[in-house]
Amino acid sequence: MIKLRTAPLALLVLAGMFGGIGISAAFGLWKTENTKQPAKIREGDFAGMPSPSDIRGSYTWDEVSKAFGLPVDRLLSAFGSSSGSDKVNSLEGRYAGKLPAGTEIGTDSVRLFVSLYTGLPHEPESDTILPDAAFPILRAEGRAERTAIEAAAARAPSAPAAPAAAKPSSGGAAQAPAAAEAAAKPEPAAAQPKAEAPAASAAAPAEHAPTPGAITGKTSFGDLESWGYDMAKVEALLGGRGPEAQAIKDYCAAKGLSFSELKAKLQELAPR
Amino acid sequence: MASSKAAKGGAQRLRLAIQVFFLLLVAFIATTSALKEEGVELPLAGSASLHAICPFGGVVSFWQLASLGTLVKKVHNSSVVLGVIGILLAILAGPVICGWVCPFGSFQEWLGKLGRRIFKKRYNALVPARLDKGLRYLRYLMLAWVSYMTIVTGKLAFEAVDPYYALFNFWRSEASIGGFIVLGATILLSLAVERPFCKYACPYGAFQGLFNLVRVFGIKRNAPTCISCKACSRACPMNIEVATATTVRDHQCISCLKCTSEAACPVPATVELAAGSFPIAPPNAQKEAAK
Repeated sequence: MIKLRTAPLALLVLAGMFGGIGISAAFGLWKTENTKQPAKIREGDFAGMPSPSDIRGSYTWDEVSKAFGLPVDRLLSAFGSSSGSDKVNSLEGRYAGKLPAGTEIGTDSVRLFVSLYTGLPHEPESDTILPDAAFPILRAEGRAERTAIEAAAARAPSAPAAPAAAKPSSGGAAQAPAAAEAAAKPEPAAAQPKAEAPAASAAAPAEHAPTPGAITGKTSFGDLESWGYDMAKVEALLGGRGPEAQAIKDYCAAKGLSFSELKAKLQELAPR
Repeated sequence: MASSKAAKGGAQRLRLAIQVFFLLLVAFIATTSALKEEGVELPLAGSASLHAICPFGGVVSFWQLASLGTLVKKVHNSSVVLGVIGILLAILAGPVICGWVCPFGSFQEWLGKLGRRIFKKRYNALVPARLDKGLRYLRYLMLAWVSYMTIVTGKLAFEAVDPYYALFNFWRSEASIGGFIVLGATILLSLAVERPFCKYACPYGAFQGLFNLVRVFGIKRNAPTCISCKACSRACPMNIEVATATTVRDHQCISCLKCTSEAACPVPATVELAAGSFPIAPPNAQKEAAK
């Protein structure tokens, strides 16, 4: 019989924890931060290439650029960002409440843009759209099939260019021309503004009034409340309610509910 | 006798020291990580976040890592490493992560000392046995739900109700309301039941508990020298009937060693953490040991 008393067990715990960490560090496995290297595509013609689908909101524009060999100024221009060190998830806040119902410009938009620019595959979510400023760049330089780019453009008939227009930086030299081009020479499908949801260029952010009741993947319970929704009805529909800052989409995912189905029903509850 | 008592106290003090060490370490990491996000960098502060040092994040990432080669959102390589370390330690000595390392378990245990003063002997014996037995399997439902939701969504599903995260981020808006509710309930219940979250709801505890069935070093009771005083059973924070077992295989054991001859058991070499079986001693030797 081999006994393990308290002191040896204490040593085992400490040695196991810190020894294990040390060994993993020696093999380069101990990483407390993401590598910002998207996963590789495993199968098919693009096997071994980085997957746009694995772009995370915590990536910066510079990191996306480096991972996919895509000029950072194109990203900045397409999404109206000013600095390569900004995180991709900064789009969420900038476009919140500024888009028509059922559409969203966020991390998945970046995945879509990278996919269309590089020709690498990505299946976007149904509500994902791109800013208008993305399409001149994609039409000029995108490696995806022209039909795929135009399909994306058709899905984004009223997507505005970046509303928060930051000041142009050195990396964003192409921003102004690209945005201007989008505004000055709008492509028929992508940039033609609709009367009820006008698109605008980066140069005219003030024209974007929030669209109350526009439910997107980023819409939170707090948004609904601030838009005047009857929260009792919302709770009845969703079977409960999450924290103010929680996105409805995340709440639905956590509860096993279909966001896409409930989104339309929520839209019906919008205050008249 | 006095020296024996001191030795018994010393064994649990050593465990307490390790629990305090890990609680302070985790609190330091959580605080420095939060301050870093606010733009305040402290000396000696690393880059790890609370998510980066959570072994359960690693465990729930195993599926995605194996199938897609990626980690669940907010989970880092370090979580996977800690998840694997937790498994190896559990195979060897049971859920020592729960009994020695987990700061949330320690937090509940220390709250229990207050509860013991309030409820005296009724502390940790308030839940009817049948109900208690059934409730203990709730944590496996929790484990199944969290694992399923994490696999389906690719996000840390447990984050929405995680009291551990809420405890170390109580001063920030980062933690979820659900986490705070569960934390509040755990604090209250800890005054009546020892380690209530560990017993009834912890999905990582459920996962670790499975290794009690196969662990190399187990809690063993030497029946010939046992005087049936049941001190071992009374000492067990998880209410395991050690006094009737020869080897404890209960899925709730946390390897705290409170039941052993180094702590509660009054007879030397009678309840031990050991691999293998007790040697068969001649009857006289057994009687001597019992004295």
